[in-house]
Amino acid sequence: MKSEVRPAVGAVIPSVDSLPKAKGTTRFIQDVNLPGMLHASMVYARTPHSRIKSVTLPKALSIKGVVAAATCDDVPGENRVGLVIDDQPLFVSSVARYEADCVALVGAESTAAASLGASCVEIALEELPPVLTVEEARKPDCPRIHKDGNLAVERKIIKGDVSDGETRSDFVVERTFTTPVQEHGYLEPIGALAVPGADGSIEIMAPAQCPFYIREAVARCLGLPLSKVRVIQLPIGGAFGGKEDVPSEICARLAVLAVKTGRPVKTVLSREEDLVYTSKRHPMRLDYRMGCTQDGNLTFAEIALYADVGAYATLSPIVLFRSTIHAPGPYEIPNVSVTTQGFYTNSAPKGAMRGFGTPQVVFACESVIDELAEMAGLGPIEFRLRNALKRGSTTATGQVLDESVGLVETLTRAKEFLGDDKQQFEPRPAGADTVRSTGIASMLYGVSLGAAGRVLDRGGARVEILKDGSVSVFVGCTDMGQGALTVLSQIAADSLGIATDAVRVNPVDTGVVPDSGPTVASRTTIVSGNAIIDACDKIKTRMVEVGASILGPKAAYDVSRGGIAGARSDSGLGFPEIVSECFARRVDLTATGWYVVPDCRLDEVTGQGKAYHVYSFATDVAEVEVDLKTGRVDVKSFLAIHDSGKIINPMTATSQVEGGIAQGIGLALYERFAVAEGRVCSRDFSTYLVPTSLDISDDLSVEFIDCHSTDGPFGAKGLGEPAIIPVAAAIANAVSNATGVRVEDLPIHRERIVKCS
Amino acid sequence: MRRIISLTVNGVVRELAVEPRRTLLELLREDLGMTGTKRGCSIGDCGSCTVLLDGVATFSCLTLAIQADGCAVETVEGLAESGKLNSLQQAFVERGAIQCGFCTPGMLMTATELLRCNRHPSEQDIRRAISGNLCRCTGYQKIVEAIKAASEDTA
Ligand code: FES
Ligand code: FES
Repeated sequence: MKSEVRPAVGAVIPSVDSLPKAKGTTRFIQDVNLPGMLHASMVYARTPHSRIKSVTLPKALSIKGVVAAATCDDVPGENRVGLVIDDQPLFVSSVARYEADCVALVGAESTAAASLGASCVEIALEELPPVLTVEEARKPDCPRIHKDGNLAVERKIIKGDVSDGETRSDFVVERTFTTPVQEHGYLEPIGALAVPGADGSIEIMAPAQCPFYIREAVARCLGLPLSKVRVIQLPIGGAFGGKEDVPSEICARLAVLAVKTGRPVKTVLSREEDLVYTSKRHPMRLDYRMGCTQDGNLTFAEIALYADVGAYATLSPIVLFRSTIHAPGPYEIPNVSVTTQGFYTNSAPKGAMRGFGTPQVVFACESVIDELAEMAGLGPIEFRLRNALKRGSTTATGQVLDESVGLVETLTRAKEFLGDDKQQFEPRPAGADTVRSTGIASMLYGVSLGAAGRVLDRGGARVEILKDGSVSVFVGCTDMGQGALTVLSQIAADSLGIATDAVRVNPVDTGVVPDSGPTVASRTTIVSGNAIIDACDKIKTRMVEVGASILGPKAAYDVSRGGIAGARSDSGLGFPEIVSECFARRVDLTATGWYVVPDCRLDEVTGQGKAYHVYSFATDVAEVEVDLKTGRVDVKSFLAIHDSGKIINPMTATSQVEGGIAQGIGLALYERFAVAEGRVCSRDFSTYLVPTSLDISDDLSVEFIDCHSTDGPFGAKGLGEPAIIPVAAAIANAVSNATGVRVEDLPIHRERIVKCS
Repeated sequence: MRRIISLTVNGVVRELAVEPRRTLLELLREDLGMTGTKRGCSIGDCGSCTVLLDGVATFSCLTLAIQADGCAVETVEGLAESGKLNSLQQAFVERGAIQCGFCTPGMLMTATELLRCNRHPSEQDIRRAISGNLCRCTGYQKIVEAIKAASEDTA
């Protein structure tokens, strides 16, 4: 028999799709054109809150090159796209609730004609008073954005008795924090293409994280059965949650126009449109009260979160579920109360953005933890270690963690790295007006959808072994640059004991794989990975049956070599042999694998129960230099220590975390999404500043603690979102340590540093 | 009013009639069908449309096609030699400098210019050179490492 195949899992393998990307031959949506295709432009309300009286098209239609337009009157099915709460029209029919609420879609022979046409659509409207802030939206006499009022989402956790916890406390910290809107800033603007079929079916091509969401939205708006809508994922030029809910709306609008005209219809947003129209990270106000005993044991946490959900709820119920669960941090606290409220305002909907409601609460919680540590006279690491969740601990929702809890290891590593738990966190003069210090922040992250997304938390894979021994895999989760195709190839290779380059993992095609839910919540490795393993197991069983008929009943699959091992060590069939044997005997080497995430449920009233089936953990260490004269903050070095279970590919994993650190630095220091009177001012990348190569420390380190998860494929947990979560918190703590003034608002205001220090 | 211009693109002479307001980015992507050069913003903020114009890294979205008349334009499509990645591209692949890949063509062109002018750039030189090219995925670290590795390779 041939020698052992080097395991792919755990190996550094360059991204399988990076070769064409390096050549410039990868075709993104902006590079895809079909014969007869129309270019479409959306028409927006252009005012934050208004009643639409009429939409008049003739002037637009008279523009040379304009072919057709669609409004709410053209929608064959339901004119709705609400994802969790049914509050959003596909095309506005009566009330426009934000500046970029879409009123119509214009299709033309060229992009220029389409955008000229769109600007010529005449909208008669009556302006309504806009509701611009959560403070306004909460007032009882505030105008209602939706008929049931402005409160869109409410979530709660109640554990123990907070007032009892408070009486036992020697120290209490009470503080209010705010966090900003954050824009995803993916480099590829959103786009999509809808192609009508001759038989009334429709095909959608889009760089989208959630092809199955699109399928549902398009079927609903066109009034078609799901089987007549096929969604094929195109390469995604970055997403970070931003290509999760929004593509469904765009695709459904394109589909309406494609059906109306019988022609393929494509749109690619301009950067300005993308910034103004698409979803963002929820800005929040966070009221924290937490206490501890003089020994530094946490006694209670009483937390109130107020989030701006924007004009429509989209994913807010699930995002704010995650905020609520994660608000008390990765600590064992006997008494907890968290109440979260999300309010509608006349602004772009807030949806998913990497971290999904968690970076905000981690910033607030970790700031308070640092303050309590100081009051209790303990170092920040010692204090965290004392309260850290461990195996056997009970979380804020009363869930007992029975496995894979690597928080203590991340903290211990941070302590070892710093060499000291107190001095490092003192201010250290660095120049005439500059001072340096260090800050840390820890987090937990519930992997996959948890109790709030229970029904969607499953996924499929289709694995087919071809005649030549190569393997074709389809999964239901997408690669958006994070390296999913690579990691899943590695998992498939090791499940079969073959080389990674014999495996091709294809982009998602809803016509081939079962509905696998969304590509979010760092769930792809687990869900698609486990589904691949399941499919491979089914195929291996069939191979073993064939092998047994040749080698005898002791035949078994040998993953270390690939193929079937016989009873004697020198007998066996290599992978190519068993494959051709199966083909000769007409055995089906195709299988659909399925994975269901272990059940999670919470009590509706108390929020108690199992929130997520497994958690990732991390501790980040930031060193900053603060210029006390100008308020400028530089991140000098950054260490991220993650427990995401088994790391399937150390290179892509490290790269993921480095990207998360950069985005977190942006959130902490630079990214300010300006809006005035309900109109977005940050309409380009020179007014919305995402970090450049000069803004990121050249001293980033990423380390992994391998805390095996029994349920994960090869022991893996999720990583994509944890990458960003503690970053801003660690930087804020470092700045607070350097200046002696607690950071309460993100991004960190230079003015405040200058004024207070 | 169209004007006839002549330019070389990756060594091939091209003659085209273009509208004076057409950008070099449009010329490449739409007239020549060379879609390797990306459009991330159209207004000079992101660097994803970077090409070399007579050897100088240039935002093609801010350059009129007629300004390229008589010039040599180099794009990402011209980097690989007979289908084989050059050492810079290879370094990007091997060092994990590519996630979504949307910034990659522009990054590669900026780095090409840098390495031609400065065979042994320091890490700061590299960071300064690519500071007009946004990347939202990688945090730049692996891109810097790849460029450094490629520079050592050509030593
Ligand atoms: S597309 Fe030219 S700089 Fe962004
Ligand atoms: S790799 Fe995605 S923007 Fe650079």
